[in-house]
Amino acid sequence: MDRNEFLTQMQDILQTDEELSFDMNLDDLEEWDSLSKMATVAFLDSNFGVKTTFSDFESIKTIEDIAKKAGI
Amino acid sequence: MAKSIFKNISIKGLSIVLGEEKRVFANEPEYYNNDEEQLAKLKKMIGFDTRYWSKPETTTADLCRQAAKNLLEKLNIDKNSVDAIISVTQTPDYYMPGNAHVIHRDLEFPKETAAFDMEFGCSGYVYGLWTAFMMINSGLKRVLLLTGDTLSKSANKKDRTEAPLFGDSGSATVIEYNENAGASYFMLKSDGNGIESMLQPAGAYRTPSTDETRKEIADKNGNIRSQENIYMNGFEIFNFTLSEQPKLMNEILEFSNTTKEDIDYFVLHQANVYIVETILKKAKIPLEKAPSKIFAKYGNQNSASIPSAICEDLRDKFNDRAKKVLMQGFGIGLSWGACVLDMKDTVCLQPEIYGGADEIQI
Repeated sequence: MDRNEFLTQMQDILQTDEELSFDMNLDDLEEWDSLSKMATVAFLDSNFGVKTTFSDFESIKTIEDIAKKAGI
Repeated sequence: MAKSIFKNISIKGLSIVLGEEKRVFANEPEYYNNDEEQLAKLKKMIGFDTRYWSKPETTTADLCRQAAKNLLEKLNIDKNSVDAIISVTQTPDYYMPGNAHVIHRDLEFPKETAAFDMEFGCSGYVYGLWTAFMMINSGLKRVLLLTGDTLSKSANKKDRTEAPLFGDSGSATVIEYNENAGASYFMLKSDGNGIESMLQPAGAYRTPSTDETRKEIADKNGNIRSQENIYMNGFEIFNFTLSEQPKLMNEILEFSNTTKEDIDYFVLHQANVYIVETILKKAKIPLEKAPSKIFAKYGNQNSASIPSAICEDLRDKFNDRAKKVLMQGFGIGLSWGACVLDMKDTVCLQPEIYGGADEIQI
């Protein structure tokens, strides 16, 4: 998965119409709630085999941080 | 390792009875601060729609008794031929004795019928079946398995992480010796380190009931519960589900020498639509082979969700050839288990409201 596709997937996870970028602050997005965090966990697990814990989300501030976890 | 293979045992029939009060998610916007966008998202993603709660005076034993009575009558089974009653519940009528004795009394079973309870939640149907199969394997001819809960009574009504999820119901299953039945395979697992992920912290003997344990406290998200209400760390439970369930599904397929293609139906515990579909997607199971929307109709029915899914979605499927069915339950404990077995001429009763009455919509 390339970075563009990653961003498209995040658009789907967040179910937002706002244009996303890697450096935007997730906490500014109203859609960044427990449901989208759960969907992120499933996304990282299914596509990258990466396990996420709840405390990981304390350090995830941007989409770039999620991309780093995914290793892309 | 808890793996078992049984021969000559089959499920003769199943039934399910629901609490008498229908709750409609759309009528409860207060759980989500009347935020319509959030409500729509939850309905779409998690599958919240309707569920059934029992009235304050209706208990798990009541629901299971009606399920048992309906099933035994339909199958024309003489109660003297039932060698044992197993009740699986976490919301019994009494701390002691167990619900199996309540049913034994109410349905007037003979003294020759053994009766006992097992304490399990969402994995309870598979654990109960496993126990029943072991008993038949050791010489019994017929076992009545009852599973069910009234978790709406443990959930705090002001806790949106619990109250909108649970539906109350009781199921009955008859398992019996059948010389024509093929092999059945079971695998059971547990992880006691997950006790804190889901529990009712107080009210039993480790932390007995006091004014303090009954005090309702708001957590950081504004959900209100006491220590005598059920608590679930949804995130931990979701992670557990995602990491362990597709894995167990593959293991039971391997153990039973079957492939995904051989299985006619995958019946998973109906935790919610999102969890079931996420497991199915990860395990690459086609959705048409697996009920996944039972939660939307009945809520999370704990140990009764698997029989409920069968009675709701698959009740006319077992009439011609034998169908291979994979069942899998997972939840509190942590505890999870799966089985692969054949179902043929299995009588599945249509879900019914307690009391046989029309539902009351709330």
